[in-house]
Amino acid sequence: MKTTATPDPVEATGRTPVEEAPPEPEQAPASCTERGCAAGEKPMGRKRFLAQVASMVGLSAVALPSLVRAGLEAVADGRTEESGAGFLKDGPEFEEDEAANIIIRMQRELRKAMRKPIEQRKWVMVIDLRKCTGCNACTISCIAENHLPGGVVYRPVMEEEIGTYPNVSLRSTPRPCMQCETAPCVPVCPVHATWIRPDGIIDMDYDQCIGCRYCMTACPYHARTFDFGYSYTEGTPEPDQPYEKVPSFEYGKRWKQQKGRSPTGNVRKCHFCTHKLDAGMLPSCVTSCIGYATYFGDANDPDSLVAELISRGNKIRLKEEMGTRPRVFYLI
Amino acid sequence: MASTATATAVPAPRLNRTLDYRVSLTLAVIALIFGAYGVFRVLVFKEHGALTSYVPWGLWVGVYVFLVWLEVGMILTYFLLRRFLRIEGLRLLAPVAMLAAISALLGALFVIGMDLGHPFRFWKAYLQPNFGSLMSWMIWLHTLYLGILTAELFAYFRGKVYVDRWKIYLNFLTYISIPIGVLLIAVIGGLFGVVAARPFWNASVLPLMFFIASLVAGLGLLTLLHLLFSPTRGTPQYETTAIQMARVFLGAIVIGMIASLANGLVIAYPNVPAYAEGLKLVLFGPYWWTIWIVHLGIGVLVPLVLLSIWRTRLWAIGTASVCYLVGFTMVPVNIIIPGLAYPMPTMEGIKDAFYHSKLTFDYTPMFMEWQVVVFAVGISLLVFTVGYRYIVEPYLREHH
Ligand code: SF4
Ligand code: SF4
Repeated sequence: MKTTATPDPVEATGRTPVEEAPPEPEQAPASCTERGCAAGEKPMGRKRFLAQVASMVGLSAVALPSLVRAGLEAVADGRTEESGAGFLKDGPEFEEDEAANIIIRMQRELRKAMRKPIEQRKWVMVIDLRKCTGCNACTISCIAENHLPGGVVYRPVMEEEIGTYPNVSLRSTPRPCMQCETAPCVPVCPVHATWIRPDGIIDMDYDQCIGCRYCMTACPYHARTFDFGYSYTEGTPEPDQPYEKVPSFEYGKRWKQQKGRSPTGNVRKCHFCTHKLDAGMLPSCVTSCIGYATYFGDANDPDSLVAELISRGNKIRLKEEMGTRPRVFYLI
Repeated sequence: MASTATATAVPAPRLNRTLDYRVSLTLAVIALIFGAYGVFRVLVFKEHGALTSYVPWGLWVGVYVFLVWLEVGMILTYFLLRRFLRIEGLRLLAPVAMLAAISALLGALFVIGMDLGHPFRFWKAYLQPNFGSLMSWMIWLHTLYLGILTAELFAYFRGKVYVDRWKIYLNFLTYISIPIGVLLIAVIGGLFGVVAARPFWNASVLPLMFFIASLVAGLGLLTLLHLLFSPTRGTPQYETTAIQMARVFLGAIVIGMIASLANGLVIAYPNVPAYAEGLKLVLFGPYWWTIWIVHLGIGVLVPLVLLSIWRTRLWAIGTASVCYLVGFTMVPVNIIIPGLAYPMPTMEGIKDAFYHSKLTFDYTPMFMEWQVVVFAVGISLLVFTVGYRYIVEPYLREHH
């Protein structure tokens, strides 16, 4: 891998270089809220809006085929990284300008971390609440990645209205499993079906879980959901579509969605996409975030992006007072 | 439970004929048939009723706790009444109480087994237990308790309680069943109480509250068992024993009320939402009537009035114990569900974060959940009926 001197991507303001390209948007008029602007103010004009949409569509039309082609070429070259540790030797090299991209930087840091023994890694997720638009792209990509059935969700986005009219704002808070350092969900399990991995991720063994749901009551973040065996097409003329039967690859195993067999009847939760990490890839919620609001990496690496971000004073953790010491940090 | 007094201390008992074996058996079979479809839906269709990911425990766990209160409370109160108050008229009730405890225990184990996502993996709790979890302790203590009660009942069945060698052995079992019973109740209370994430449970002194609740509920059932099944029926001792028990029962209800009131006030007074929300749900939520009408009205007020005014009338004592038991059924449900049925502090946004019928804080038991409960009651009734016929009656006939 070509290592290049990259400029510090995180400025003192806590903003990433991705944001540096476009100029800082002007401060919204005081009378503007997330729900719109008061009469008399000048929000984006219809013409300007249409022009921006057209340019975005045009850009995608140009970029998409080349992205698809690049992907296909990678597959043809055998450079896909589904096969586990192959990426360690033959990972693609990044050009200098690409390295400025936050995703590519995190990807490179992830691979660096994966070369270390597992107990020397400390995975951490950082979510910048100032950037989260509440679009739920991460929620959906997580569902798609893990083939989650109906009623199971690993990363919902909590929406909160703050203030009273006319001084209101909306805060969106994605809530994955916090992978707590002192996880209250772990000691309560009567059969050792859930435990803390050396790298800090809270692991689950679906085949061991008896489905007592004690861990769900113990989690202070409502981060565990029960797989009731629902399908999205239940009650429709054509239930149980083939796509609902596609196995998921959580925890590095194949899990077919089938009533009476795990993971149906089990408790499920976010696992930072361990199966993707093992393949040298970032969790799905990180790569799908349209606002570049989610960061992921090894906090034990002092040069990593997440290590930098969590050393700032504007970080918080949810329900800090409970002493669960989450590995998910929020920037406010 | 071993009897230590001599058989001559009690007038020759008239064998209890009031239990109509056939009626009881028919009721049990009807309950089993009525509940069978609910059980079928759980085992074959893998349904879990109205439970959701945010209210993961509901009616079944509540009924389980209620049956355990009865089972352990009855054995404990029997021991306390015999040992400390020396109520001699209860001596012959020992096998009946034990059989009732085993019946309740089997119903409890069945209903909690149905609650598991993978009921047929229950063996993992025995072979691969995590003794750091109170749930493991609960499962093991339950098994131990069931073993002790079964061994004692078996001794009655074989009529061996009066053989000296067995007497020592049974006395030993009786004595160890007491601390195990106390531990079991404390562990079940602790199972909820240690969950720091649920302020309503965590703020209540649940191990102690469960212990008190278990004693009062057990006493209610023991009084009823005495009135219905005591072999001393028709003798003056029968009535004296009932009146003695009624007095203790009245005192126990008052103590239980004071303890609950103190606990409620401690939670409510600071009015911290995290803690008070659960209590508000109990008192003024959609199921307010279960606490005000069923528990406090039928379960507390009626027995208090009956036992205060007609304390020597058997009909009043019987009605009071039935009312108390009926009213008490709602108590565990009113502890467990309100502890879960609201988002945790600072996580309120989770309520509307993602829509699905299984991602909600609203929980109302479905018909099939009630069916499973009726099936469990059917199991208890069946075990009791058959056990009474083939274990208790022969024992009483042989010895008296
Ligand atoms: S967020 Fe909940 S499920 Fe995740 S580690 Fe913490 S306690 Fe366990
Ligand atoms: S539901 Fe499964 S993982 Fe959770 S406590 Fe029970 S057995 Fe353990």
